[in-house]
Amino acid sequence: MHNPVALHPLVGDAMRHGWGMTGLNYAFAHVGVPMHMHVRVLNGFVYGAARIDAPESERPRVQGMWKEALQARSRVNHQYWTNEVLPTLLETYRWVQAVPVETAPIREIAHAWDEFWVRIAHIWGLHFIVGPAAYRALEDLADLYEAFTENAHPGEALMMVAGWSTDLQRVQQDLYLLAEQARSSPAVSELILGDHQPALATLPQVSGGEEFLRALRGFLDSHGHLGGNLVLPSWEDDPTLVLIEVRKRLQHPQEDPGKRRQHLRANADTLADRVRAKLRDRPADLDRFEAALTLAREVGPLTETHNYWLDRMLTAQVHRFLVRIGKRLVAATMLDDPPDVFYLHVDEIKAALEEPSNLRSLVADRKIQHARWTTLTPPQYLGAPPPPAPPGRFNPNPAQQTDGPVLRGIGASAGISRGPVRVVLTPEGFGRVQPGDVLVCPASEPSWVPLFGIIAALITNTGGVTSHAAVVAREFGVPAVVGVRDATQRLRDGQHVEVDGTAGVVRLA
Amino acid sequence: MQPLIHWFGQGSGDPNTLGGKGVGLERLARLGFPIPPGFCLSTTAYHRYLEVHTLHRRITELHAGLPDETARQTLAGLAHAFPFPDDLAMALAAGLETLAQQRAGRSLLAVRSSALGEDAATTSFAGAHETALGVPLHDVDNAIRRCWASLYSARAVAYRRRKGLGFDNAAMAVVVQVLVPAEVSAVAFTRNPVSGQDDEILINATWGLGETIVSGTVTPDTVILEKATLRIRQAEPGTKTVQLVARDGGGTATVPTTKGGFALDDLALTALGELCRQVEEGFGQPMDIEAAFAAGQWYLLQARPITTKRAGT
Repeated sequence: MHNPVALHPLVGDAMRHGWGMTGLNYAFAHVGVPMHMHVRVLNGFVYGAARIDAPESERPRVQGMWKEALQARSRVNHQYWTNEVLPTLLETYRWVQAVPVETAPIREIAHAWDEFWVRIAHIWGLHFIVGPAAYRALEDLADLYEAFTENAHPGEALMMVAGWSTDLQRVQQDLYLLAEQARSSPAVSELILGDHQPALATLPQVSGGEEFLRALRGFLDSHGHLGGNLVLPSWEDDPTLVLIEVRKRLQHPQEDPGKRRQHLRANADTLADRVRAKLRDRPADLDRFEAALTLAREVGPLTETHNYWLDRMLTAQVHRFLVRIGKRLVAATMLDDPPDVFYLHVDEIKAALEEPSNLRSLVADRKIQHARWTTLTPPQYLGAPPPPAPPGRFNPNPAQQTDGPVLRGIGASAGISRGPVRVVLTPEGFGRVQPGDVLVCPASEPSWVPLFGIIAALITNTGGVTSHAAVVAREFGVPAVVGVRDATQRLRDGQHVEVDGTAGVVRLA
Repeated sequence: MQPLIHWFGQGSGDPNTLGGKGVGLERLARLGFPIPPGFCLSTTAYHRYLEVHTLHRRITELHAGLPDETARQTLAGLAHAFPFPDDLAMALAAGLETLAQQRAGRSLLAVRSSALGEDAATTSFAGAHETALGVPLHDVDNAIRRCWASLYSARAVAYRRRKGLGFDNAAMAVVVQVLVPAEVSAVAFTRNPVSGQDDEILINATWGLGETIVSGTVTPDTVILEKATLRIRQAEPGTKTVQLVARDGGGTATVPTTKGGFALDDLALTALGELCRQVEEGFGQPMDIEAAFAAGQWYLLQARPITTKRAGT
C-alpha cells in the first residue's frame, strides 16, 4: 500500500497515472528493463506491485538490470536534469498556467484537459529516471564506504554528502531569515506568538509589520509552492501556514542554517579524509572512492532538488489547475463548490466538459463514500504478502526500531501499564481479547467499554482526551494513549508494549 | 402524580425525575446559561409506560437474568413493544407543539438519554446510552423508545456490572431539544482531566456536531487555557478529517472537512473559556461541559461533574 490515507477520486487517478501506469513504466521502458508497475486504487487506498515481465526465477537478474541501468543514468544525471528535465518542468508549468480555463469555450477546455494529463504523466516519467538515478549514486558510495570501513553505521556514508544540497537548504535559510526578521520587531513577534492562529490581516497595523509582509511576499515568490498537496492549499494559497513555521522558530531559536551547513561539510570532509588515509596504499581503490564521492556529491543532491522543482512544484501547479477547473464547473452550474472537483474521476470531468451535466448528486454520494473510507483501516497489502524487503538505507525496517517510543499520541488516562497487544478492528473481534491485553483499536468509541474491565491499557488511532472512552478509561484507571493515527497498522498481536498514558507514548517492552 | 414533562428553566423540577443530563441542563437554565429550547420527558413518564402495560414485575424478573444476552435483549425490546399511554402521548404532542413555536425555523431535534444515576460524581455512564440527533418531528416517538431501550444496552450493562451497580432503581428520562446546527462543537474540562491541574481549562474542538469528539471519531484540536486569565497555554491542532452534520430531511451524515487550521478562533475561544469559568463557579466543582457554536453564539448542551480524582490521589 502506498498512502496510508484514503485519497479523493481525482487524486487516486493522479496517483495511478503518475506513480504507476505511466510514471514508473515510462522509466522502465526508457532504460530497457523488463519490469512494469501495476497499480490499483481500492476505496481510495493506492496499492502498487512491481512485476517482472519474465519468469519469477529471473527476478534477481531483472533487478540487477535495473540497478545497472540506474548506475549508467547516474553518471549523466546532472546533465539530464539541467538540459532536459528542468526545462521541461518550467515549460509545462508555463503551459498549465496559460490554459484559458476561465475564458475559453468549455468544450475547448476538454482538449486542454487531455493534454494536461499527458504532460503530467510525462513529467512523472522523467521523475522516475532522475530520482532513482540520484539515489543510486548515493547507494553506490555507501556500498563502497561500507566495504572499506569496519563497523560502519547505516547512514554514516551519507554524511559525506551532507551539506551539498542546494534547494531545500535555501528554503531553510530563507525561513531562518524570515524568522529573524520577525524576531527583530517586538510587535511582529508578539503578534505571531500570541495568536494561536496568526492573522495576516493585523500585521500591517503593527510597527515593523509592513516590512515583514514584504519579506513574507518574497519568501512566497520563491517557495510558495511548498506546504500543500494535491487537495490541500500550499503556502502560497494559505500563508498562515508559513507564520506557523515562523512561530516555531521564534519559540525555539535554531542554529543559522548557513553555519550548520559549514559544520556538515567540514564533518563530511573529515570522514572522507579518514577513508583516503586508509586507502593511501591502494591507488585503484582510492580512485574508485574518489569517483564515487564526486558523483554522489554532484548528483546526490538531485534527490532533494527534483523533489523541490518537480514533486512539490508540480503538485502545487496541479492543485491550482484543478481548483480552476472546479471554479469553471461551478460557473457552469455543474458543481456547488470548486473543491468538489476532487470527488470526480478524470474521465467524468472530461465528459462534463464536453457535454455539461449536473454533477452535484454524484459528488454528494462520493463525499459520503469517501467519509466512510477515511474511517477504514485498510489491509497493508492485497493478495499474497510481498516478499520481505531487506531493510534499505532509505527505507529502514520499522520492526528494527526497538529503542525509544514506538508511537506517540495523546495521553488520555494517566498511568503506565504493560501487556501484549491485541488489535481489534470491529466488535466482532471482542472475543479475542484476553485479560491483561493492551487493546489497540481505531477509535475510542464507547462500544469498547465492555472490555475495559479486563484490559491493561488502551491505544487508539483517533480520538481525544474528552471522548467518552477516555472519560471511562480514567474512571476505570486504565492507562490510555489516543490519537496515535496508525496504531492499528503499526502494532501487531502479541507484541509486548509499555503504554504511558501520562506522557502519551507507547514503547516496545 | 409528578409531571410527565418538565420545561427547562420554568418552575421547579424534581431532580429525582430528570436523570443526570436533565439535572445538569435544569441547573444551567436556572443559572441563566444559554441552552437550546426544550423539555425533559421525566422518569415518571417512563414508569407510566411500564405501569400501564404492567411491565414492572417482568422487568424485575429479567434483571435477575442479566448479564445473559437474551435477558438483555428482551429488556431492551420492551421499550418498543407497546403503545404510549394516552396521557403521555398527549403531553408529548403538546410539548412538541410548543417547541415548534420556539424552534425559530429549525426543524430538527436532539433526543438524548438521561438516566437516573448517570453524570453523578463517580459514575459518568459516558457513551453508555443512546443519543439521537437530527430527529424530525414524526420520528420523536421512535427516538424516545430508543433512549429507553438503551438503559439496557450492552455498554450500559457492562458499565453497571463493572461499577457494582444494579438495575434496581434504574429509570430513563429523555431530553428533547432543538438541535443546534453547530458549525463548531467543543468539549471542555474545567480541570485538566489527565494531569489534574486545577488552574487550567482543557478544550477539545472540531467542526460540525460534537458527537465526533465524544465518540472518538476525530482527533480534535486541543487548546489549554489558563483559567485565571483565559490566556492560551498550549494549542495543538487535531486531525479533523470528517465532521458530522444534520441532514435536511432528518438524521445526520459524516462528511469530509474541507477547512484546515483550528476550529475555534480567539473570540469564540475566549467566550467559551468565560462560560466554562462561570459554569464551574455556578456548580461549585470542576465540570465537563459540551457546547455548540452556531451563528456566532454558544449553546451549552451538557454539564456534568468530572468523575476522576486528581492525579496522584
